[in-house]
Amino acid sequence: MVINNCYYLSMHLLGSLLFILTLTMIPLMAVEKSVHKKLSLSQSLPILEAIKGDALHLGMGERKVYLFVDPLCPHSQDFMDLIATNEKLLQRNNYNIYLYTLKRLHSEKVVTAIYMSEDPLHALLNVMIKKDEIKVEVNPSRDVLSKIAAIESVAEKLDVYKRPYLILTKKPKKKRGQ
Amino acid sequence: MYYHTPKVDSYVTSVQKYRLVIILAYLLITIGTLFFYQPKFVSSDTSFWLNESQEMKRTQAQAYDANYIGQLELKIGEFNDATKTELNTFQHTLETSQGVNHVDSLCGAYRIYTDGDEADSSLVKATPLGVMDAKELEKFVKVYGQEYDEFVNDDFTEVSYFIYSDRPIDIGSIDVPFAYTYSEPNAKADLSDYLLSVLAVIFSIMLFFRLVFHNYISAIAGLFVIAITMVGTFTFVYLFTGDNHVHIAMTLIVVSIALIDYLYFYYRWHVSQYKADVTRATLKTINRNIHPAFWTSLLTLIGLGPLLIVDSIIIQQLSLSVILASAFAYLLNLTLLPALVSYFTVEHPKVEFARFCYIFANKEMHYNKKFLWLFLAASTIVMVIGAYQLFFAQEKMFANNVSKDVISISVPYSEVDEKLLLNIETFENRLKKENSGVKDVSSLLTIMELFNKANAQEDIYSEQNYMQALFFLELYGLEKNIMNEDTLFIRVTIEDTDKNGVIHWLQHYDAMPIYFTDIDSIIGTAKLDKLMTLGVSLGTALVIIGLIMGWIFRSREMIFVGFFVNAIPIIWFGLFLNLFNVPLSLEVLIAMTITVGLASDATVHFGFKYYRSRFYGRTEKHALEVMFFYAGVPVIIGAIVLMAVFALLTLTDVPSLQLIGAYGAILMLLSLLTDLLILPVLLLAIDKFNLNQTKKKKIDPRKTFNLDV
Repeated sequence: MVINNCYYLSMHLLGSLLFILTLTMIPLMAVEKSVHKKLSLSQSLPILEAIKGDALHLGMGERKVYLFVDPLCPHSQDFMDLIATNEKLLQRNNYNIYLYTLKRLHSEKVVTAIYMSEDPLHALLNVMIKKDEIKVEVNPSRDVLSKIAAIESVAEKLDVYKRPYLILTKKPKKKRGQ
Repeated sequence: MYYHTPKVDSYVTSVQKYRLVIILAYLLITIGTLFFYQPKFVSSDTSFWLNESQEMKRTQAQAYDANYIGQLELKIGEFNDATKTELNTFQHTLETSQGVNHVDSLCGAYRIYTDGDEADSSLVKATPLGVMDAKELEKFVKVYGQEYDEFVNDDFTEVSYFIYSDRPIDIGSIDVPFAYTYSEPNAKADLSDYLLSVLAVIFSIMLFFRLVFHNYISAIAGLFVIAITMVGTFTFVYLFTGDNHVHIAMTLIVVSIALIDYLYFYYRWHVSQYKADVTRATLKTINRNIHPAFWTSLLTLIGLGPLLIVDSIIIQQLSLSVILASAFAYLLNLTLLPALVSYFTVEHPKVEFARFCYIFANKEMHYNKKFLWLFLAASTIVMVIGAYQLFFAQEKMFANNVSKDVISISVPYSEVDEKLLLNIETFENRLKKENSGVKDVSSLLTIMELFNKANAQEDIYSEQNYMQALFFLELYGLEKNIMNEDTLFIRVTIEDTDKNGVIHWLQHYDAMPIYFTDIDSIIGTAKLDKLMTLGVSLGTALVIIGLIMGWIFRSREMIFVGFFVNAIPIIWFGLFLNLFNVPLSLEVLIAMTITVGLASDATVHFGFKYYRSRFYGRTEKHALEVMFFYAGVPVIIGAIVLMAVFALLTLTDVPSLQLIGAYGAILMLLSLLTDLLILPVLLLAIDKFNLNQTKKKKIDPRKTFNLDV
């Protein structure tokens, strides 16, 4: 009887503790959701410098657009479809594409496979636009892993919280008629 | 002077001797002239105002294109998927129509949104509302109504299209699937409209002249004089200005002036045959009218001549039309008319109107001085208020009230940055705050804000936020209607307000350079800009006419009479325009010009008859009777014919002719009332002949002058 009472009491206390903990976490989580670093371009560019060589390049324009995508994210796929088919913007922009996974989509293996392919940009477009299956490598190379890790590290520093995530540089000034 | 009776016997004999030569010479010259000069009749005043516009010059200097904006309202009844499909098809039809640059409408508008949770994705989507199904679309617009309510009414029974084109769109040539109203009425006149106008003139003259004079020669001779005056006038206008475009309503200046001038001559010839033969009647019509008609022509030349140096095609064409019409009519009435009518005699020289002259004279002899001064004081007050508005608040003078309209402007920029966006925000806020009729402003900022909001980002002025919004704008190709490399296109939607007020505000906004890029607003600015010139020109002409009138009659008081008799119809017509918010137009100016031309004619002819009668010892009453009989009756006949012509013109399909018809008829009535009720009373009021009796007795008129007035 005593044991039973102790059990119920401890369970009750534990339940109450969890409830209070949940209540205190909700506002904290909410605050965390709305507050992002939102670094300025001048703050972002030096950080991006670290992964300068890791970008997949799309477009021939003068203006750089840094782009973080998850190949399996439907929003990222729609976005890639839009930019890859927009000739006008391909002429104006140079997209520096970084593959940065969303945990819930479990796309790490696809990312690795894209980076390990012969033509990663082609592979990326096939996966994201044509929705092609990609052969997943069992043993990723150290280079690829370090590239993914570097991108992840930079993305965290930049607080990349959306996919696709865009960082735009300023357009070069044009004279009338150009 | 009014008491001279020129000796014209030998002149009349010569005209009668060479009458056939004279008639044939005029016909040959006229036909020959028409071979070398064919006027291009236009029924829209757009090109005239655009030529005047300083804003158009500014816009062109920036190499910006100006658009016509037509507003099309479709009454769709029920909004369902079938209707929406038709609207989508119609949108495409409009967009691919010749001359159309772009079309703003419900189906052409975009929905800007993010799929799912906007916190997860930076992808903002933009899809045309036309792709949504009818129910979904209706629901969406009701939720986000503010952004789309310029395109559709609350119960979804009417939709609006704003059509931007580089030329006026002939909506009749487009297959519109629903009942509609179009803001730009068909300004292009058909041949049938021109024919109807000509027939209106011919029919009115034939009918009324037949009723009054009981013959056809009066009408035929009148039409001859008018037609040749018309050809002569517009040929010389072309030679002077180098522009062969003649606004169709401008022809009415010639018709009015030539007709009334002709009537003074013909009427005298007609009624003189009551007691005299044809030759004597011809002699009388020449020697009694040669001086006053000369003075009226000289009066218009000196009064309106200085306006020819004003740098305005409109003012030049208006004043030249009056001057030349008056001069040609004078020449023709002295040469062609006596030659033509010399072949005929009048069987019924009596004119029924004559008895009204005695009634008028009798009544006006006992006019109430107090009422006269009250009326003059009221007219002066209205004139002073008008002058004040002219100098200090032009935009309020001729309101241009619109129920729904768009003003399109362009703003040059070098870079889309925070400063530019803040400038636009300040502009939009001030525009809306200081102009209650501004319903919506569509600019780069407003569209970028939609993208920014959809992307769950708050501050548009953050560098990355506005650059992202701009990126998506370009990604969906939505920038082409709101910006190019160096220019922002801003559209201001106004509702139930005076458009001139908003235009005036925009013209005087100096925080950023603004260029008007829609034809209607540019015309509006031209009208506001020219209002002062037009007003000052008119005022100057009236003052000069008054001064010459004083000189002709050697009377200081006649300066005042000359000025007021010409000004009164204009003053009260101006008040009418102001009270009823009638916008300033070329038709208004033409109607006013006709009035000045006719009122100055009437003042000289009335004055001549009255002064001459008084000089030869007639009593005031008798002088009034003579004046009414010889000058009043032609004016009444002429005014009735012209009012009939103007009234018939309102039946045409051409807005310009409808307007000139309405304004002309009103002004003609005001002018007639002034001539019959005010001018005689003013002549009585300034009459000093009784005071000068002694002086007069020293001259024995029988030795020098003809007593027959």
